[in-house]
Amino acid sequence: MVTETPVLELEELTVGIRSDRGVFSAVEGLSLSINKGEVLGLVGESGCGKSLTALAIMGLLAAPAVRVTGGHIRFAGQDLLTLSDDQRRRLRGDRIGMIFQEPMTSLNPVYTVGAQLVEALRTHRPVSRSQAWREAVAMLDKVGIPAAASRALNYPHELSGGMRQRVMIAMALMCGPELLIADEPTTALDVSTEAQLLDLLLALRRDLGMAILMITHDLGVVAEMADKVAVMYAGRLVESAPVGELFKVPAHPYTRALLGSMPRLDVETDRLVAIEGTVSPPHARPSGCSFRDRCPKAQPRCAGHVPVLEHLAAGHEVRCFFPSVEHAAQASP
Amino acid sequence: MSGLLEMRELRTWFPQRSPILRRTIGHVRAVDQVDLSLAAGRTLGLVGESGCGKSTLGRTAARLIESTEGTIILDGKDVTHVSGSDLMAFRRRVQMVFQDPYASLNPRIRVGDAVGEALAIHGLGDSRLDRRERTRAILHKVGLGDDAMDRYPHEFSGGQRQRIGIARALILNPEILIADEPVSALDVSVQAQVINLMRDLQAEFGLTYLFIAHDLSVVRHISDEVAIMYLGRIVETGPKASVFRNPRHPYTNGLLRSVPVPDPEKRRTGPVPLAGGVPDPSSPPAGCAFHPRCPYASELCRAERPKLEEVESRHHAACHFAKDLDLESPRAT
Repeated sequence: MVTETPVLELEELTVGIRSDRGVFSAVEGLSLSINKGEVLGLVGESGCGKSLTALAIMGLLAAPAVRVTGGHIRFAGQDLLTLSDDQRRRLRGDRIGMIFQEPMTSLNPVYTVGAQLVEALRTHRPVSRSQAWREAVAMLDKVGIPAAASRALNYPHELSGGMRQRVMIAMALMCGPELLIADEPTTALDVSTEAQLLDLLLALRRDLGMAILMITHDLGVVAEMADKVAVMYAGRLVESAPVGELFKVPAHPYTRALLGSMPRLDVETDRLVAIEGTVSPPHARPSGCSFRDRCPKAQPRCAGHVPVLEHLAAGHEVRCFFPSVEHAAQASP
Repeated sequence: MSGLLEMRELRTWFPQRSPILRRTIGHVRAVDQVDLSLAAGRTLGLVGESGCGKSTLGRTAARLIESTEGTIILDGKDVTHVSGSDLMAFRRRVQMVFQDPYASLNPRIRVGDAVGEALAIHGLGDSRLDRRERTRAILHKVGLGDDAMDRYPHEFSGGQRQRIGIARALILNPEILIADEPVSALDVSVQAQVINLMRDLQAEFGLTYLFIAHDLSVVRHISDEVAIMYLGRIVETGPKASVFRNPRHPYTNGLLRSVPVPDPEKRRTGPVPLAGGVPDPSSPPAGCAFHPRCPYASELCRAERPKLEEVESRHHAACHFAKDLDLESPRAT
């Protein structure tokens, strides 16, 4: 099912933020690739640059203060950064879809959900209103909205949180995108609704061969969904691996710390291993490895320069001078 | 065994009024006949999907919302309707921590003043200086330095603000903390810091917690006892290990099986454990309120509401078939 044609390739992507303190890189030299039908989990705490990466791919950065300052974003072989604004607008919502954590930010409160789905389709496809309406209802049905034909006439506020999230997914899927970017799509939801939505996304991936970039801070969601995982810290990729490998032998101290800080349902833990402090902002990052101020294994060497991404095993790379090689203990890092 | 704080047949119903004549046309039964007991020095975790009434129950128990019926007993004394100085005395013993401390902190009041305010209100402390000293001490206890006193809420990160929220609840030296989703807005790493802090404080001051959350992994980690709520009622309750390892209510089982587990080898397979959503609490289904979503529902369930009955030592479930059902095992071990 998973074939080796990259749908999306980021090469040394750098996103700069201009502020009164100067220009800082919020995403730095990020390289990733997602194949057709593949789910890539992009993980990290708030402030790691995950959402900026998504917005950079979508071409929705808040220019001129925030913009891509280096690297390439290739979608189906084409470098998006060489396209005009108009060409990128035509890709958005058509071949690349995006869903957000808070559906009300992307749904218009004064239009019915059906009308918004119709607009999403007619922006990109020359179909009649009545045809578009039929497709909108079919899509609402597909994403699991009961009584789709009458629901299409509802306004967003008349729907529950889980239903709105489904509507947003339906809107992102109207044109059958090759890539779906999902930014924390289930964070605000109950576990029951979350499970329903994750199943829906996996079914769509299976049926449509759609690739998914799943941005989340929940390693549980990653373990359920992803084929491979990329862990970001302070704007840089610190570890990437196939999902099984990442959970079995997490090599970067940050990945281990994230796993250790999660309370788990399947394993009894006595005390959580908190990562002290918070991600330092782009203008105040430590020299060398940016995780060193919170890292239990930090050595003088870590302050000297940024470690390079090193190959550990097939598809497994880590950016650390002292990567762990032993298996993750059941509960401790 | 009688608890430090007991709720007996507690009901909190909100009237629904017709739009024009303001006549009462029905009630939202947010909390309906709940019996709960908080044992001194222990943690009771209260879980359920959004809309199940868990926050209303917490606020009713904290005397922030008047109950419609039933009794709240603190240390053997009926406090359901106490007012004036008796209510002040109750507040000194029972305090609340909220999900979003930013929403509960006045942005224009310095943290030291916000935390110390309660001392003045309750006439505690010999002088302004003494109150400042006590405030400083409690801020230290929650891991904030002297400089926090004179800063404003916006200068703190989410995790630090939750520490401030906890400090403000602890300043009166209460015995009971009712914490409503205290960590659900935080990143996993910071969540771990706050959970560890709450456990340390509990050990140091012998605090009793009512911990309200929708995240079952967090609840499992922090609780001694758990109660599962559905549509205003407790459907299962008991010692943590017993409920999580051997849930007897299909709702509890469905919730547990929905939680994403950070281990790709334990991926959930098969249909979603809990389909559909929580029904409208103003017109709950007849019989067992869970029957429309329950895969095991029978005629009996549609006709008659099951009572909470003991299924194992101190473990109660409100299901007609609690003792007979062979539930697919949850992923908790």
